[in-house]
Amino acid sequence: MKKIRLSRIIIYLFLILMFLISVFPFYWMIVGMTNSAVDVIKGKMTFGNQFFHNAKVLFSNYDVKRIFFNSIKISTLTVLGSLAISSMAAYGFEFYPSKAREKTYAIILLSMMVPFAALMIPLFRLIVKLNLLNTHRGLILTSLASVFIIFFFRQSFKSFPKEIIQAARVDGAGEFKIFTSIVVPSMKSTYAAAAIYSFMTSWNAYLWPLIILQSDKQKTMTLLISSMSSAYFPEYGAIMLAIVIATLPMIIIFFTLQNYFVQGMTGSLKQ
Amino acid sequence: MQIICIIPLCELPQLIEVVASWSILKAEQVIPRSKGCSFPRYTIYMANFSLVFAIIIVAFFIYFRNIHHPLQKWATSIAVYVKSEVLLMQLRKATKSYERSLDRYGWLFISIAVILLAVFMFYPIIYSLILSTMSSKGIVQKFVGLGNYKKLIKDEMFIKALKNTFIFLIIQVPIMLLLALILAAILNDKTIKFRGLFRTGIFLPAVTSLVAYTILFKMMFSVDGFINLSLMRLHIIKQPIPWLMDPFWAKVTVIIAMTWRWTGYNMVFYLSGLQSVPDELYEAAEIDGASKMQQFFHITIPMLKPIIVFTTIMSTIGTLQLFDEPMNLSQGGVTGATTGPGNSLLTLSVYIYNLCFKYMPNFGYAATIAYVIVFIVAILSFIQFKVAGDKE
Repeated sequence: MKKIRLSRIIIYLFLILMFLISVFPFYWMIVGMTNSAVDVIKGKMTFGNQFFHNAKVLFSNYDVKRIFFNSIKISTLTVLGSLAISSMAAYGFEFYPSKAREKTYAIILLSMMVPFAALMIPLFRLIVKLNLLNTHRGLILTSLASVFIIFFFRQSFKSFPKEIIQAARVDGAGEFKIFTSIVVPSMKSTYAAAAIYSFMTSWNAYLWPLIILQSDKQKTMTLLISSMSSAYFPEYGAIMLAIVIATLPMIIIFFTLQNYFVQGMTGSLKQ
Repeated sequence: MQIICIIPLCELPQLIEVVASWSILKAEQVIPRSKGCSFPRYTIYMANFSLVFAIIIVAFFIYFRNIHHPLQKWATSIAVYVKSEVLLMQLRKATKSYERSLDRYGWLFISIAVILLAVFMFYPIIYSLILSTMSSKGIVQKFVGLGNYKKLIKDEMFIKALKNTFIFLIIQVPIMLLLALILAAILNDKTIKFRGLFRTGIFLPAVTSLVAYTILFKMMFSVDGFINLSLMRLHIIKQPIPWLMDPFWAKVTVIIAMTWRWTGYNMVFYLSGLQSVPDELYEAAEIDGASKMQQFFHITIPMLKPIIVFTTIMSTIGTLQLFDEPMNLSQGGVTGATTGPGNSLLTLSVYIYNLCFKYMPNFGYAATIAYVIVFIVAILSFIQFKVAGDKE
């Protein structure tokens, strides 16, 4: 009995330690935004009174409002577009079985293995040729069709009863009508989960935006934080504030839609 | 020369037309005989063939419209097309099946995604492969065959980047996955209190953006920063550790940072996998006197095998593409002279970026390195599948 007690305590201590390590940086970033640059770098762990100073530095030196809305705009449009396109594709793959399409699907899945670095260069040239460099359109257009989201949708469409669709066909419903008025409404949670995944990828993207968005006006939050921290005299307090602003939307989404969130991460594995 | 080329081109539409009309004729012969009942499959093929041929003829005329053809030819080829369309419609009606039209809808549904993927994914992948056989200085390009691949072996920077990437891969991925597995096994136990709270907290890092958390860590790990201060207060170290100034410690920092960011993320995969493992299994093991350790190695790990393979492959791909962390942890970030002290944080992706956008651009050579990553991913995934012995 005593041995079990001891191992229990060790387990709890381990859990608490992991929990603290995981959560601490969040606390630190909130504390950091109220401290001066020197205090941040010296590791001050209590709240300071430099919040307004930091805010002034951040908002007067950078067009944060615009950059924030750039991020929002890009992510929202990407989510809407990629949900529509990818779910349609997944529907086509799942509910109209054919050998040719199955092969197409296999090739598409295989391309998930190819790292982004391998497409980066030709993609960059393509964007230059299409005159989309430095535009949000270029960024959105290239991320509309996501292999992972197609895969994710198809996995959850697998559990959708095919008889319902057959019945609707007998009743004379058109194919697109079946998709938009029967399948989409009953798959709301899948859409929510995919939306969160898509939003997060697009919100946190760094390498591709870094390459194609070169002017300050078009920047996103991630690019702003990155360029702020590589300045010669980084304003650490202001950086902390920027990090909080960039992280907040994700945290809000996480806590309001927690179940969908986790489902979005792991749902693709269900079958 | 041109005449020789043009003659067969002129003949080709007529040839196709003959084949098309023959298939129409054959298909028509079968239709009246079997009204409403099932068809021999080849009629459908035949009708399809004639349609395809008709489209080819029309396309030919449109494409080579500078070749002078009498108007009559146009008319006949369009007539062939219409005829085969009508034939197909008849067939569809007669068979009373939506098979054909459903197939079309199938293609329609996937078309947008497939077109986008073809343009923004497959075209770049193939183009990149072609590019990897070229050497370019600015705009000038020349074909070098496998020259770029030979150049790799002598390139010290490449070797360094490869080595660094593999160090991260070999050390970070196992630590993280093992930690995630242990945490998942603990938090799957229903007798643990505050499970939800622990799960949420440990998963929380996965919400942050890679750039944001990296910069947070950069500040925490500065020489007189929070980490050194705490370690000194706790009397674990006497001298501050030069985290980001020393090649060894810089790597350690990246590994710690990545483990912080991704452990919770992987844990969630294992937790959702464990949900399909019946509790009775653990209860039975408990009765048989198996310790927690034994349960972990003999139930948890075997049951999670497919998911472990999946997460290993995903982490491998992710680590081989490592970019955001080294770029933002190094002094000066994108514009810095080296990536980390003595280029200790130079990874393959960072090197590719440098080759394209920082030095004199050599896209060809950069594409070669990108393909090295593809090969490594392919080989490692293959090995991981083999080791796991799964036939999925």
